[in-house]
Amino acid sequence: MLGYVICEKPEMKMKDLEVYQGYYCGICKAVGRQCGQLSRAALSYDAAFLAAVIDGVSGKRSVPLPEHCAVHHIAKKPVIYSSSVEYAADVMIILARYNALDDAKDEPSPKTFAAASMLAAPYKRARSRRPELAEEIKTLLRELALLEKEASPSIDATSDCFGRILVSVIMHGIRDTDGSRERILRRFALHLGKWIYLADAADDLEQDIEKGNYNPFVLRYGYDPEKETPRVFRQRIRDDMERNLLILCREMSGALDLLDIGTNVGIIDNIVKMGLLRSTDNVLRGREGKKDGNRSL
Amino acid sequence: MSSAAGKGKKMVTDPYETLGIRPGASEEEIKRAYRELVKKYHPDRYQNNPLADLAAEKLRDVNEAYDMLMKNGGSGSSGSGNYNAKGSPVFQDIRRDIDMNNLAAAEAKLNNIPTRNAEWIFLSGMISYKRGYYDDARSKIQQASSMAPNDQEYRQALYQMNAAGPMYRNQAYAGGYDQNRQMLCDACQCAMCLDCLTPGGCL
Repeated sequence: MLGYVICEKPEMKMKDLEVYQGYYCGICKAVGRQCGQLSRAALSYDAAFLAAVIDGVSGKRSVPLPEHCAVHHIAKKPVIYSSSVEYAADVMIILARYNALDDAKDEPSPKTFAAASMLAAPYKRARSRRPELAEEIKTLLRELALLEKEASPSIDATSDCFGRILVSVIMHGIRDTDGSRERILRRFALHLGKWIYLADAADDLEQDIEKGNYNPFVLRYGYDPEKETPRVFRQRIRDDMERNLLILCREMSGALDLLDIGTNVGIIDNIVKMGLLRSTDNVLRGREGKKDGNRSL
Repeated sequence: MSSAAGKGKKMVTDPYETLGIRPGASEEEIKRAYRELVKKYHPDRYQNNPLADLAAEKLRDVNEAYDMLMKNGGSGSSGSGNYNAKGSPVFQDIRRDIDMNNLAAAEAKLNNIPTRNAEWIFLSGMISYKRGYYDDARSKIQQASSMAPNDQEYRQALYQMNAAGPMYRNQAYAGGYDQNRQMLCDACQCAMCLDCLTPGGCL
């Protein structure tokens, strides 16, 4: 589910890129402090976006400071320290822990067990700092697992469930919101969560078919192994997937325009109005030729 | 939240009865009945009359009944006994709920209506739309539109849903998005950070 909320780098201003990178590096350091250098699984630019939104909504301006980076030894990296960064790091740890537990359940192996147990202690600490959030995420993930287990053909219901996880994540991260702001943020968060869930499903189409994993698109559009290969199926439903994904982006864009964002406007606009489109186009294309599917930005 | 329907008075359920005409009456008959009743219940006749408010209520009902019957065009369903004809008060009430985002209330009321005509399906779709259940919304709006092909409202709603994606895309293009732009760092598959895409490359 991670790695889909990306920026459209060529269209980002240099100063915005620095702040965006600053959030990423700040979260990396926070996660590193919590988990040790090994658990970079809990890291992605999605978290940087989260931190940018939290600060953007509260109008907080964060200045990145150059610091040494454990991975990139040569040049210093811009790092932001802020409550939004701490929060995003906690969110990532909690999500990574559940993710790792899922992997260990689906594919039991020393590797998956190790990954899950490495996150156990950091997760407990994060949960003690954010008990309501952790509990809500746990409940919603359970609800989602049930829908998937029942092989729900409803794109709407399953994506809505994940959408509510994002609502929890965003709303717990933002201190004071008044009535109309809260409505807008909730709608924005719900649609972002739905989009992430469906983008992941679109990306994993062939893989899920092969492995017999749940995929809402596969069920909704009636994949028929007698009549088509996974690739042909992808072609058949490409326009349907695009429509489902882009209506969510349009709603997000609309919500964003109504929101009074104080800072990080450039970053947030870039990601929501172009980055998500880039990501959509990527997942629609599928992973032709990419083995494990790890992608750069 | 107070509804526009008035203070607790039941709304017009049978427009023909309210106007005192037979079901399926012609437009001319409807208009004639309307004019007579308006004259009868006109406020000028009830000035300083303690019963003025009752007259006002009756007048309101008459107007409502008249509106219901006159707005009946385009849905393909006739007035005879079918009080779920487009614009009927039951559906109008539900529309108000939907407009005010009282989705649970709207849905409950919808579920009490046994006839599932085009408008019913359309309104069910609109509830889904507001919930963010776009797949369901689209199916239903499409179904309503094919049941009532001349209906502009359903067609317009479907058009707007279909236009959402292209609108979003066009806005991105206008902002400089290039669909065919090559992403530079496919080669090194570096997942660690943005540096890959800067001149100077990965370190």
